[in-house]
Amino acid sequence: MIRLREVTKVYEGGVVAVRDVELDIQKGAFVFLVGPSGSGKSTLIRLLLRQDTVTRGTIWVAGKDITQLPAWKVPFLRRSVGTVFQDFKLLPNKTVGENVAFALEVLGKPRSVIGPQVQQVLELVGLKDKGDRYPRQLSGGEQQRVSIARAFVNRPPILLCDEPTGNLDPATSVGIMRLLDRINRSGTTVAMATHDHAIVDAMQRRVVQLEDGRIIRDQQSGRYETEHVVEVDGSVAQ
Amino acid sequence: MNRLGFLAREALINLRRNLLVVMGAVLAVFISLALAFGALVVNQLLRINTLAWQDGVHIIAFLHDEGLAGIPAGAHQALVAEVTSWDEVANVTYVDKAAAWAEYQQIFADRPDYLNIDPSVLPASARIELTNIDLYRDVQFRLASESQLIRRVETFGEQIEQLSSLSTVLNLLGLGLALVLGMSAVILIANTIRMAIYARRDEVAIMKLVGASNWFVRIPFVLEGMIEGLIGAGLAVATVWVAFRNLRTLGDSIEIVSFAVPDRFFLTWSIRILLFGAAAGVLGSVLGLSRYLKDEDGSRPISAGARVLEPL
Repeated sequence: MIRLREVTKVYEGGVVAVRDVELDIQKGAFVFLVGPSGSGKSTLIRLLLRQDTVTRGTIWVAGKDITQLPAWKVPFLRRSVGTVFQDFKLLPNKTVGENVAFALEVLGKPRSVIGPQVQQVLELVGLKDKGDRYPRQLSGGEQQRVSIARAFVNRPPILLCDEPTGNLDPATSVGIMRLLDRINRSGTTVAMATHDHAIVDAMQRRVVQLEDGRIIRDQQSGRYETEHVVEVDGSVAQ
Repeated sequence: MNRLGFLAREALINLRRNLLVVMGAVLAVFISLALAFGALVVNQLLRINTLAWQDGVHIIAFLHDEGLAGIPAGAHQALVAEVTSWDEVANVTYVDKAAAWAEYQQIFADRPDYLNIDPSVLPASARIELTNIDLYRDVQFRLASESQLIRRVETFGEQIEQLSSLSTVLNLLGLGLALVLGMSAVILIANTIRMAIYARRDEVAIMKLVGASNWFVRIPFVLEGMIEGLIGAGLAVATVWVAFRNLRTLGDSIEIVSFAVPDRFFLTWSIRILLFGAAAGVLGSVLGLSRYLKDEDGSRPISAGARVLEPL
């Protein structure tokens, strides 16, 4: 579903954000991108969305090389990739229902499709009775659910999440992760950048760890931190 | 249809959010187009009151009577036929002595004391309409060479020239002002669009995130500029119409000046002014968007104030 080969991104001023990244994410997978701030997680997400272009290397999304994608085709890429951000990115002057419907309106979907589809996705995220509320009338967790509903209302095959629980308390974060897990179980590939140790450890999914723009660990059913094992002779092995 | 409705709604939201700036832009379009339209109407009035003042007649050649020494019968018709064949001449109307007397009687119908004259003193004449008023001197000279038959040549060329040059000056002034104000209107619209983009930067970012095409994002802004231009042009057309209607009512009491600008002229130019207003609005929008029209390449995010905007 997603394949990166020798991907390097150097920003103006020579700052290397991502260096020679090789990564394969299979269809239907759930992958955590972990690492300290500045390790390249968000840059990787921006590259996958073509908000940034690679300096070197190739990225395939759903079989297409997006590094060669002409600018006018980028919107088509984004229609197949839902995005969720830490700051929710909701429109304050639109209701919950309108925020979700907005994603379908810009795609030119008819009203007859938008109404039922919005209702369906609001039910999925547990907000079916709050469609008429404004974002300011919702809790942080509810706002993030709206953001997920908007990202998922078009049923994209890929969902990219950049610190979706970053602004939420642990209990609310669990609810959001349950929702993302449910979406993943419906066949959607989910890649999530996070700092949240507890969630990564609890979910036991694939973990890709970045440091200084490089992948230093890629582990199935991993934890946030590398597990240190103390050998019998007293040496420490990873 | 739903998509069109969505785009139109977005454009109206833009207009409502920047109402004061929008009003400024509309006012600028209104003033410039009202000036331009007004100049056109004044020019048309001058044309009507100069070229058409004499029923299209630019030169009158008064003729000696046939039968006088050296002027055979049929000389008048021969002259009319010859003058008609000249390239500079569009039309010649021959007014014989009887018709001249009838016209005289009609003109002085309310002055019976003027009618006590010998009708035979009124000469026949050839009333000449030129293809181009600037050629009146040439025609005047050629007619003068027919000295035997021509009694006197009268032209309205000088008066027409004076009025024409006045009309040119007025036109240049009006159009110059309209051009300068038109440019400022376009710049104001461009500025309005930039402010609208900045005010809606979050929505624009979200639209792009969910896969809206670049043109889909731009169209509401282009529509906004077009609506501003159309409203300004509509106000200009309405103002000039109302002003002219009042002028015409006032002018009904002034017999020597005609305000008979045809409705067709108004209609044609109203449509042109409206189209021009819409085009100026679109041009302003495109200028406003030009900074954001570059297709995204990701490596050059555009800063807008403290925030960073992706190119539209």
